Amino acid sequence: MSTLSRSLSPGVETATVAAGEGVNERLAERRRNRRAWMLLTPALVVTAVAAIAPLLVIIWVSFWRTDGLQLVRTFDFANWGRVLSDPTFYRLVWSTLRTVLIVLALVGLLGLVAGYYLARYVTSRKLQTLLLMLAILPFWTSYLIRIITWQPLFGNSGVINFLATSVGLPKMEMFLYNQRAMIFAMSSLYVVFVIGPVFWALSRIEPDVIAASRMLGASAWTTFRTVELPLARGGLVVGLFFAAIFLFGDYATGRLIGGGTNPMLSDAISQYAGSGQWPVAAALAVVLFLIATLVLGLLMRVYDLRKEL
Amino acid sequence: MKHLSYEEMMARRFAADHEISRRRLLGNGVKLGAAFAAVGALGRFAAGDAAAQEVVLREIGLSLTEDPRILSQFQKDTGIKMEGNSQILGNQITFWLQNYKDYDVNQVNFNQHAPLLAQGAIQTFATSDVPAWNDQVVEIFRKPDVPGYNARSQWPLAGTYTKEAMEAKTYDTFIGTPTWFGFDAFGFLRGLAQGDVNSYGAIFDPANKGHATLLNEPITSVMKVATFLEGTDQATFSGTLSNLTKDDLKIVFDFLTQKKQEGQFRLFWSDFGQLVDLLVAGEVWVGDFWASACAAAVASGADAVFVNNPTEGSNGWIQGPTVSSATQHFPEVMQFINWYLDSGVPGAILGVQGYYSPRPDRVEPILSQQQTTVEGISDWDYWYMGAVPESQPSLEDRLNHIADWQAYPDEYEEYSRLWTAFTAA
Repeated sequence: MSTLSRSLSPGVETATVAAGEGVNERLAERRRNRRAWMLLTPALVVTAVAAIAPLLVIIWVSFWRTDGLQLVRTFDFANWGRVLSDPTFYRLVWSTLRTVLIVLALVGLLGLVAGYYLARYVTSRKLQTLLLMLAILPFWTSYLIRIITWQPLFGNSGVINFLATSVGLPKMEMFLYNQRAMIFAMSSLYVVFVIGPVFWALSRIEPDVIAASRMLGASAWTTFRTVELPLARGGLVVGLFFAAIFLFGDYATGRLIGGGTNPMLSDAISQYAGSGQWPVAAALAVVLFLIATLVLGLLMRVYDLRKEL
Repeated sequence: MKHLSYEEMMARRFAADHEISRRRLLGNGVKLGAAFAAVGALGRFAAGDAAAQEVVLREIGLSLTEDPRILSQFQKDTGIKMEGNSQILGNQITFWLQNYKDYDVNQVNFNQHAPLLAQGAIQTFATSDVPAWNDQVVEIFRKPDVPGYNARSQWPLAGTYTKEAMEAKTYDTFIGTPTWFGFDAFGFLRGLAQGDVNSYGAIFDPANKGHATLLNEPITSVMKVATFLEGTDQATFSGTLSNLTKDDLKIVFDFLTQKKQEGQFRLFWSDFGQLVDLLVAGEVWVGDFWASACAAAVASGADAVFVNNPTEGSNGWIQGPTVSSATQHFPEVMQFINWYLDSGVPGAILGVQGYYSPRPDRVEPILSQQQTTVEGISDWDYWYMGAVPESQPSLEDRLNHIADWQAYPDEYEEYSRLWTAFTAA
């Protein structure tokens, strides 16, 4: 027995120690988890209060209805039925999608060209910084001022028309108060979101990678298409992501530059909310949220931003 | 809630103030005890009492009513501070519905009374609470069947008094007190707008195609189109001009949509500053411009003209304070409303911008002392008496040329839905 106990004792000791270590590890892991949750709590509270709760309220309000002058706080589908049976709703959805996709295509293209030029053709670091700063410069002023500057540029008495008429050309009215003008103005406002990330992504590509491609016989275009663009995709998607977020909520550009003649969902939301028709405004806001989620989801499919985290 | 007369309110307020002072004095006396601390205690008492008496009111309104000259003069005259919060037209109703519990007064266009009342965000009050509302108030706000009164819509009385006061014909309970009013029509840029510029038809004249505009808001814009269509016998409506039926709306929006598709409108404007810029830059030639925007554009060099009495008639509007249903300062709010009419100060400031006070007799002493740039013509003569009728007719003349008053339509949801459809067409 004693032999047995002697022969067993080291194992028992080991098992006891192992069990003790296991308990300690579990306790340590629990402490780590608790600490992680404590660290996470402020972010979760902020997200819950600032993002999830307002969204839930908007969804709830979209099920209210108006009865004459009364706002009925209920939960029925009358408001949604009214919204979904109105042809104007589909026109607004289409106008929003079309505008957002065109502007994203334009800012993507322009941002890519500008970012590529900065990263590849401007060799001086100082000049690169200066040009990037110039691109960001308009953001030092307010959003409204940036929109309004479009008017002295393209307005009847603006710079472009002054130059046109001074060389005998007729005045141009095509760059203000129509959808074309709105798209150009939005592109100019949001392109800067793309230039920076694209420049940053292109700058991270090792010069040897590009040199290898060229030495293996690829043309500059093939190198760009097969090497640089895939590697810069993350920057492009990040830029488009931010541009899209701002675009979906932008109604001031549509009013001031588009002249209110081609409203998007955001404009209609503002109009309905402003006149106390909250259920309709909330329903349109839910639809806008879904469209935004869809577009942002598509962008994520092009490039999974989580890889960058 | 029983409403007290002005004198009763003042008497109660005086008694309440004294009651507070007496209690505080006794309390402080017990706390401090020793007589040698009396000086310090009295000092603290005095500061506390002053703070208790300093009532701060809060209101929202358009920038014209939140003019610092008006608010500071009110404080100087009464010792009550009014904190003003300027709102743009489109935000005013939503802001009030969300915040009325934190405010005392909403200075609003009377065409918004109906939803504010229905939502319980404002309270009605007796005309006797405002002593300045007396026989000196212009008749149009006191009795029917006078020049400017619209028998079909019953405005402006129906917008000013409660339904019960209207039915009993007592006109003794306010929804809101009219403190300034005016006549909305349209305007144009001289030398650019073509056609008959005395008619709303100029906005829809093909000669002005691509250079016309309307305010991006359904109530007033639709009413102007209806005024034009009915005034030129192109349509007959079963509703009033400010309260069209669904069938009437179809006629108006068919007309508007066709005009939009023909390219008549350059844009739909949204706010005062934008309109002034558009006029100064000559971007639009004709549209439903505000008189004050025309005046501001003229000051910046544009040859803008506001048409005071269009052939089809103008659209009257009323602005004034409504009272929050949650105010804790009802007597002081009444004092504010009374001062607004009685002092003549807001009336004079708004008077030189083309707007009228229901108490012209209180405005006259101030405006008579102010001279216009025309030799021998005072602001009173110019703005109220029509001394230069071609640019500013008399108040009486304008009341005689009114088609109807702006009101909140029963079918507002349909107005709003069709307006969105029209702008998106």
